[in-house]
Amino acid sequence: MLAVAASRLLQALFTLLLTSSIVFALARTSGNPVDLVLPPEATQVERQAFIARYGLDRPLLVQYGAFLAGALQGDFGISLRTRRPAVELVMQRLPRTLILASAGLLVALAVSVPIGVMAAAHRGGAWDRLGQGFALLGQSVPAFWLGIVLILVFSIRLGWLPSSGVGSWRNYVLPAVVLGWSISAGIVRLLRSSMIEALGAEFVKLARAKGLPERRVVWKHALRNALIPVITFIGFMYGVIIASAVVVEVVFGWPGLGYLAYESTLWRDFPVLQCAVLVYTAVIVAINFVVDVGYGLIDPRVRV
Amino acid sequence: MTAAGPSVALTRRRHLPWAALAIVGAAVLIATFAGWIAPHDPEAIDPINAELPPGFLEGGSWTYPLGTDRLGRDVFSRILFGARLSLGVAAVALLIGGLVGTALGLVAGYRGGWVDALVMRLADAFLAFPSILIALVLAVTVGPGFWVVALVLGLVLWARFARLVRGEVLSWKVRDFVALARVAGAGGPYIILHHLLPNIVNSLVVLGTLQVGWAIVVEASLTFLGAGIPPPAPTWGGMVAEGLDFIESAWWISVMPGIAILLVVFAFNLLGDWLRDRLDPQLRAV
Repeated sequence: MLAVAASRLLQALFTLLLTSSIVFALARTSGNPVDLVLPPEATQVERQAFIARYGLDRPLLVQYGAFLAGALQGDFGISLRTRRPAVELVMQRLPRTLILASAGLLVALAVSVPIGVMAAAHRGGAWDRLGQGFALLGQSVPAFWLGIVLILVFSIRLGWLPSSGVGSWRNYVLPAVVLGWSISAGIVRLLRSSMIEALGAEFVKLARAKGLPERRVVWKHALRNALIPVITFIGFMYGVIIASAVVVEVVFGWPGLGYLAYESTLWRDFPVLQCAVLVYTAVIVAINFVVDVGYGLIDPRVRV
Repeated sequence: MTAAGPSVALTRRRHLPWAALAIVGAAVLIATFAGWIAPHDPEAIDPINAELPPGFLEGGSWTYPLGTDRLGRDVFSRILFGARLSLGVAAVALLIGGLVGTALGLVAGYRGGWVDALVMRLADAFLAFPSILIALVLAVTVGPGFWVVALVLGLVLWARFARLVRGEVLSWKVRDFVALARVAGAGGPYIILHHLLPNIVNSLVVLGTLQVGWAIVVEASLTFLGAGIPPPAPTWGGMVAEGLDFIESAWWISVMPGIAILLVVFAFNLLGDWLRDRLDPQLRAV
């Protein structure tokens, strides 16, 4: 178990290192890093001071080491727009994105678990076709467009839900539905196939032979086992959902980390963007790590 | 998913998905011949006819079948030209990702050992990679564009191809015909190209088809965020973004290109699903 955890941890660190080096390389090789990090109105003296402070005249590898050392201490530089430490802005926005992503995940599970189970229990029937249609459509409708259509219908035409902002629970409904939509297709597909497998297993035959009602066999005995792969998948899904949150946050004006990254792109606020990308990656990697290790604790079969 | 066996739905879907084939075929034709088919220049501005509704709505004109945008550009013509960019980016990205991923997957699977470990760790890292955010970084540092988008998509795609190919190679290379080829004196590269690759082509076709839709959706999302193909080029994601501010008065600017994305992506996914059932039942769990 410890070996598994250690190898997962190494993989997580490797992913972070890769992302940070790509971001670093992009910042240093494309044009002048001074222009990316300093405001355009900076004077020559300020530029010289900046170059000296960050050692931009040193070899790239040394610079990368300094960048990593700074990043580890939470030093990502100062936001060009607000003049506050980039890491402060990012951390302030992170909780909102995590809450929204969790709400999206809940919506996705609430919709796709029943559909996946019914599709597997009635294989080839109307439910199955509904499930497959749902899965296909889910992969084909872009989240940003779905968000706009929902705003058009539920905010503008019907006036039921707000189209943007935060505050009441009503602000969560549309963004969470769109986010949940973007991963539901994957869950339905996965749950359907693992349910079909579970329904063919010996313990299900035994449960049926004991004369348990079919509903109990499907929803308790089979579903419990079929959910195991879905739970591992949730770590991966959380990563997907946090990434699609960028688009959803922009559509709904949701002031989370994704919106911050988008704004920083518009303003060319590179220190903040860089910090947002690395924190994003760190969160995704950390969730995957926790799910992987936690899964190993629950299911001893993984500990090989 | 061996226990599942061929399902009823599977046998029903064995016949050709004509609708999907028709849409994919039409999209490819439109992308190729957009210049001849489109009724208007996609970038021609006509301020007098700005925000004109589609022809089938009141106040619309069939000169502009799907209406006009805020500058009076023909939405229909822009969608037709958008097909060229969307399919073009997807094709380039798949080519990059498919070639690199297949090559690395073949070598990793065949050689095993540290080569395999290295390639797979890299692939895992790239799969956990926040591609949308890296695209934002690229948009600020390098500047957004067609090739940047294709590269970002390729960065993720290669890892998907490499994992699939490596897995297939692992199962094929232990077969007798590979051992016999080795006994007959065939070298590694020969075995990879003549014995392993031909057996994997089916899976590659299936994965490739299924990834076209993904590539189109991600390209549209990046362009929507301003990190994709910059305006005034007619792109589906860009059109949706431009219409966002006019959603109350002129909804068709955003909604119509979205329908185009939906149709094309749906068709590719349907076709990919059909190919998977048809060519490669083992892949159904992917």
